[in-house]
Amino acid sequence: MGNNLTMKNDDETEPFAFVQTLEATIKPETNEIVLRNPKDNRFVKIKAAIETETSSKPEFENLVKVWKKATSHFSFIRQKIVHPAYLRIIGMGEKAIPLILEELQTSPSASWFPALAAISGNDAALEAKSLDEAVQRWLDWGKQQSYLKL
Amino acid sequence: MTAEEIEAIFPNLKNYQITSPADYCYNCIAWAAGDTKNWWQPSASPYFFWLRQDTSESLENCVKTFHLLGYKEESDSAFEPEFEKVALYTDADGLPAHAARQKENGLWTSKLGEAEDIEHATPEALEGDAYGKVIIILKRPRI
Repeated sequence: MGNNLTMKNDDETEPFAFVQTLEATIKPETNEIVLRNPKDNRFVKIKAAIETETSSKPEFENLVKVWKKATSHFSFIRQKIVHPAYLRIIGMGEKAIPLILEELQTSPSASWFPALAAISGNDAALEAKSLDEAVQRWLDWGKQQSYLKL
Repeated sequence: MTAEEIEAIFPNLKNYQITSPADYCYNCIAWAAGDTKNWWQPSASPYFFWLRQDTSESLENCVKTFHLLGYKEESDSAFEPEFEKVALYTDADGLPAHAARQKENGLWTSKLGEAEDIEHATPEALEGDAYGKVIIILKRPRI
């Protein structure tokens, strides 16, 4: 069948076109993504990335819970973003970005913009004229950057 | 927020009721000003709303903003049917922390950040660690 060591690209001048031909299967039971080349059934397993995400999510969710309970009654963003739980989320770095974007999608809040900007070095909502538009711009940015599913 | 969470944050709050669902689109300043469509905050970001060019989060900036809305005369929290009143709160650092508005029935209404609106008996009911103290009450003729 296949091997789990390497997957050589037959056409190295078109790496993205090659990647798009691969079939991906997520295996939560083993924390793996299997990328398979349908042409010859060779495959490669990716494990570490999933482990990182799954291990970050409970910590993130706990921090969000603590932070919301302590700051949801505040009306100025400055009061919300100095809470230790919020700062810890920023400290999680890039792995927090997809988790923040998921949270932004299900529970919109302007409070997440500073964290996203601090971690990513971008301000996707710079030109937004309303909070709804700012939220949408960050979500669109997340999809463009592959932090969120399209 | 649940009633239990509200009461834990505001231990002086008695005889209140939750009067709206949570809404992230407006905050206490907006609600005091009668706006439920915008988050009022001094900021350079165009998705926040503010009536003045001043982007400092100072009490003076908030007071001058309510001046623009016609709240020009200082007052106390006593109910005067012909006047609409707003109470501004500052935290321990002297920075604005909350605003509440007196309703036609004499009760006060507050938007709790991104959470719910509540109706409460007095502005002092929300004083404490969270919102600090009522620092000024302004009034304008009720329309």
